[in-house]
Amino acid sequence: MSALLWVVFALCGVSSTDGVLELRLEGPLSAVHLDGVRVPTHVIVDLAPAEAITVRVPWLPINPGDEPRLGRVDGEGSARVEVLHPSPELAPPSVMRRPLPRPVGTPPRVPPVAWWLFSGGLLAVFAARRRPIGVALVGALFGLVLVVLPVSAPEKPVVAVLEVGPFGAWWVHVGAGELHPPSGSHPALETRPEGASWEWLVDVSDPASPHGFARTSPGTLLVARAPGPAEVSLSEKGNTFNALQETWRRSSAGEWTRHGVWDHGAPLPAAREGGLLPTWLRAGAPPGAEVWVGRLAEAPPGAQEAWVRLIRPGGQ
Amino acid sequence: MEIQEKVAFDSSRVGLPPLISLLCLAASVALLLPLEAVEEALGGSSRLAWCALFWVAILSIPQASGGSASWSVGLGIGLCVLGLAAHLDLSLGADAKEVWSTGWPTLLFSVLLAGAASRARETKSTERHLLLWFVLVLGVPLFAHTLGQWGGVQLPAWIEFIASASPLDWLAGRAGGDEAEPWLPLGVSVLLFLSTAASGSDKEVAE
Repeated sequence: MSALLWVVFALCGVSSTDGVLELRLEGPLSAVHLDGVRVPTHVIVDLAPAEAITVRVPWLPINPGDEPRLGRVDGEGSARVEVLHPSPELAPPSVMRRPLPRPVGTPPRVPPVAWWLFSGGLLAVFAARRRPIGVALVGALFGLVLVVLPVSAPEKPVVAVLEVGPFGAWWVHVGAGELHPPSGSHPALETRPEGASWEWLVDVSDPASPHGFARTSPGTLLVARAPGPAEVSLSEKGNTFNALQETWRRSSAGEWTRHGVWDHGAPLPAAREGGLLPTWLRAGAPPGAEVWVGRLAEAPPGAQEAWVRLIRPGGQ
Repeated sequence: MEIQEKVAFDSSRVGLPPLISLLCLAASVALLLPLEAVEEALGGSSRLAWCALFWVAILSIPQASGGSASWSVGLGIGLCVLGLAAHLDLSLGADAKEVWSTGWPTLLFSVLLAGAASRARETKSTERHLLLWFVLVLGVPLFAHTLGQWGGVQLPAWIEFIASASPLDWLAGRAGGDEAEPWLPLGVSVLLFLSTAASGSDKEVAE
């Protein structure tokens, strides 16, 4: 049975904005590729023959000058668009204006397996020390194995910051190369550099928990935004948000103080010396505003480092 | 009696690596560890070139004729370290071609200069090897670097030429990002090796 391609999109009345798509998929099917979207979008499935499911593509970056449609189906089965929902709420402009987190890669390390091989090489060299030529050959052999050992590329952490202000609270996730954004987010809204090419993959192999992830070149940053918790409160009286590993406060007079570890529910610890606050966290607050910055003891899923930045404009 | 002499000869050959090569091992491993001081000092420069500079310098040192240290063990350890350093360079994002262009001359320097030092110890060419090593490998390049780089003295062209022929100078240049061809330092390495080989033949003829 040849591949069945549905190139009809039934929702003529829907404007060309981002949306959430429902697809009806019938197996055997391994992937569905969508056209008419701003970035290449692929839906990964794993359907056996005669198996059929309806899946929800969490977010679809629809091309303003085009209409979303099914482009290609990998497998003998079929796919069709059921319905297109409007996209979830967009992040307010105040959130978009705040400086983005900067993932800083840790310097590459020699992996443990290479250290073990190296130690083994030293032992082998000592064991072969009775044979002058043999000992050099053993050293050369281990040296060669170490060179051809697969290298691990330096990894940049995904950094999340909870931006808090009069607009509420929004999570902003920034990652290089690949990003698994929180559900309900809009990863296409920004890339650094702007306009960089990337692709959006939606894995619905497990229909109960579909998840999307964005992929681009290692040097490009991907940005995702999602609504945060309803209430985040940091004040001198207490921390009703979360345990913080490090805390900084800028008074309305513009003076920064560091307060170190701040447990959940505890009053603000006394100011202390030392500690360096990343520059992207210091920037972005208007003069006269009170600023609270903290590093979360536990990062949310999909991030390795998380911060909270509360900017309270002057007079509030 | 003959058997006892044979045993004594063999045990002298089964020596430990020279102490200086163990110190060099410790220094090289420190360069490959994720230490903040190392990161700040070396930045993104080639760890292979730095380790090669250490090891080629150590392996080329003229050896005492009566010593029992096994320099071949030092060479084996050095090759393991160079492999680890090359692995780290590749992890740092260095091109494989770039690592290879430092690696193959380093291998030849190590083998030729260690071989020359070892042969000089076993033949009557110790003094000649010491003189050539001091002039072409260490002395003149160090002299030129001290006066030229640190002292700001304008050196005669012939001194700079001799300095540029040193394998150590070439490796220091690679560590600093230079991309000079290694042919001249390789020629010096071959010269040192052949000078000890000629002495070995002389000795055999004399015997």
